[in-house]
Amino acid sequence: MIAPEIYDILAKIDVRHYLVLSILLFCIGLCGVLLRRSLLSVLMSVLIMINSVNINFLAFAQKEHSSTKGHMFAFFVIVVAAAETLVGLILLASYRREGKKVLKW
Amino acid sequence: MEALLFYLCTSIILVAAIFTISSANIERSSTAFASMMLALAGIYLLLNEELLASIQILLYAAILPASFLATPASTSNGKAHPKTSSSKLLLIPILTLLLLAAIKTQPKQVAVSYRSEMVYEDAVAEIQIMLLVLLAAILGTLRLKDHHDSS
Repeated sequence: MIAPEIYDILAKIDVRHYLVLSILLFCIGLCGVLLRRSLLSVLMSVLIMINSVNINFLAFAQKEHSSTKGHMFAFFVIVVAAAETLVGLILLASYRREGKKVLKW
Repeated sequence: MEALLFYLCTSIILVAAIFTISSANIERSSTAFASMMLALAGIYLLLNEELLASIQILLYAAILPASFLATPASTSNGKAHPKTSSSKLLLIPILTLLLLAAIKTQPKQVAVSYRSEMVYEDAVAEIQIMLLVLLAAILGTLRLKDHHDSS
């Protein structure tokens, strides 16, 4: 039998739930960055961490309905992370093909 | 109902994230990554952020996993990858997202367009700078690829 207080916490979704999700996701991403040796997996783990931060932005942006700052931050993070991943992928592909030559400009 | 959908999306996100970082097969890893991003778009829908959810699906659940899959295939130097069928992993998040979209977005169409207008009007310059950054990244990527293909 679940206590009424715990049932209330579980049933009513608020900022705390999104924060817990964000922390768990960030920790999983961090584990991936620290433990995996494949560059592609590290790139995916970084993206997981970035998206966990986005959840925070949007969860706190819900509190202020008149402001769009949280949404703009999230939008900015999404676009910059996508651009960074594209460049990272092509650098990775070039590095695998040509070795250290790719580091020369 | 909202709490149930939140816990469903959360469990999909966490399981898919763990699968993404633990799987050695890049195809399975990319599919789990796409599943995670779809479920994350579901979380955005729960937060009434339909615009960001659609951007999330376009960029993270479609373009990036395809790029992840294309990269090792083009650089594996003939190394054969084991054949896998991991598309079933996408089924549960897609169904969840469809359910969420049906429940959350239908009665709020006016609010969504108002929110999008508000975001656009408040930050036209920022949005244009971001799109320029994305364009520069795409052009730079293509330029880099051409440079390395020709040399």
